[in-house]
Amino acid sequence: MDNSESQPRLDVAAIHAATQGLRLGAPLLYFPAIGSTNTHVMELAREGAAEGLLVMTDEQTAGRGRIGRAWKSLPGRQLECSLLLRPTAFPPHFLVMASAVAVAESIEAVADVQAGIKWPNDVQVDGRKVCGILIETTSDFVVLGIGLNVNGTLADDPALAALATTLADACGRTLSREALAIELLQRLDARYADLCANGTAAREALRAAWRGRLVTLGRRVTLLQGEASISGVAEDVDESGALLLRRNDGTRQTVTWGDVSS
Amino acid sequence: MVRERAERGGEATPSQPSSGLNIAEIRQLISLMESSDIDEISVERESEGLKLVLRRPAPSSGALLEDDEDFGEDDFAADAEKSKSTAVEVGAPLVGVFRASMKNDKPLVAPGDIVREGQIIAAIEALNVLNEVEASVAGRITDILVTDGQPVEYGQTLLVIEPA
Repeated sequence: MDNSESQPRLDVAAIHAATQGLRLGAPLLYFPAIGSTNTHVMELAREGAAEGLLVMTDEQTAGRGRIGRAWKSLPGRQLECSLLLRPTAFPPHFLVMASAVAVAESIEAVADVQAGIKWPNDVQVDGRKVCGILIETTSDFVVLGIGLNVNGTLADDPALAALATTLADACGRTLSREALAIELLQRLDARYADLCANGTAAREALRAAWRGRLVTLGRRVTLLQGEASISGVAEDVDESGALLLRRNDGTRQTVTWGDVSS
Repeated sequence: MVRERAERGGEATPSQPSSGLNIAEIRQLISLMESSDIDEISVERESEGLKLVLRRPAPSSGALLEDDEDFGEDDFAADAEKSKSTAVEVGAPLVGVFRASMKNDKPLVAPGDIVREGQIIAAIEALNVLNEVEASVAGRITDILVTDGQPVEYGQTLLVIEPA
C-alpha cells in the first residue's frame, strides 16, 4: 500500500443520497481542495448558514489541528469534513464525546478493527491516532471538524507512523471513504438528535459510551500542558468530561486540558 | 497549572460540600447556565439550610466596573478616572486554558488595538474545544491580564476594553 496512485474523487452524491432526511449533512458542499474546512464553515456560519451544513474535501491545503498544529494531508485518502452545529440544549463538551464515539463506532462498523479514545477525543487504532477532531465554538455556533486517516500509509514517515496510522494500514485493505462518511453522519446525527431531545438520559448514555472507550483510564499518564507537565494515574472522568488524575503525592486533580503523552 | 479542585487522600468521588449539592451538580448547573440565556440560577432547600445562587458574572456580560473613587483635580487624573469608570472587563466564559491566538501564531489582539463588538479576541481551550472569546463592546484593548497558555477560572478577567 502506498500513496502514489491517484485517487478517485469523493462520491459526494452517494453520501448525499444516503443521508437524506438527516438533520446533519445538508446542505453538503464539496471542494476538491480547500484551505481548511473548519475555517470555511466558520465563515459561512458568520454569514448566517443554517445548522447541519457540511463541507467536505479531498485535500486540505492548510488543514490545522488544535492551536494551529499542522494536519498531514493525504489527498484523496482521508475523510476530511466540517459540520456546522447550533446546539442550544447542551454544552459543547458533549460534542467532544459524541464525535469521538461516533467516529470510533463507524470505524468498527466499516473497517472491523477495534477503536479506542485517548482522552479527550483522539480516536486510536492499534494505539495510534487515526482521527483528529477540532471543535471550535462561538457564542452562536459550533464547528466540528473531523479528519480521519482512511487509505494510504504513513509508513514513509517513521516519526509520524510511531504516533499515527491509517485504517488501511490497520486492517490491511482499502476502505470506502463514502461508507465511512455515511456511517459517521448517521451515528452523529442520532447522537445529536438524542442530546437535543432527551436531556439528562442522553447525556448519561453518551458519557457512558465515551468513558467505556477511553483507553487513558487506569493508566499512569503524563499530561503536557504547554511547557509544563503533570503525571499520575488517570482514575476517571467527571460529569463534564474532565480527567480525574491521582497524582503521585496522593492528591486528586481535575484536569480540563493538556495532551496525554503516555 | 490547572487546578479546578485538588483534594488529598483516597476518596474516589469529589468531596461533598456541606450544602447538600455536590461539585458535579454545581458544575451541571453552571453548564446549564452557560448553554442558555439564563442569567441567574437559585437553589433553595430550607430543610438543609441551603441557599445557592449562581449568577452570570458581570465581566462576561460586559458590565461596567464600579467607580468607587472620587475624581481627581487635574485633567490627567480625571481622564484616568473616566477611563476606569467606563472600562469593560472581558471574563473567561469557562474553566480552561487561555489562548491568545487560534492558530498558535500572532496573538489575536494586543494592548492598544481597536476592536469591534463581537470581534474574536482570544479563546479558552477545554477538552480540546477552542471556545472563542468575543469583544463585548467596541473599543480599545487597554490591558491583557493573562498570558497565552495560562489556566483560567470561570469568570476570571482576561482583558479590559475601553469602550469607543
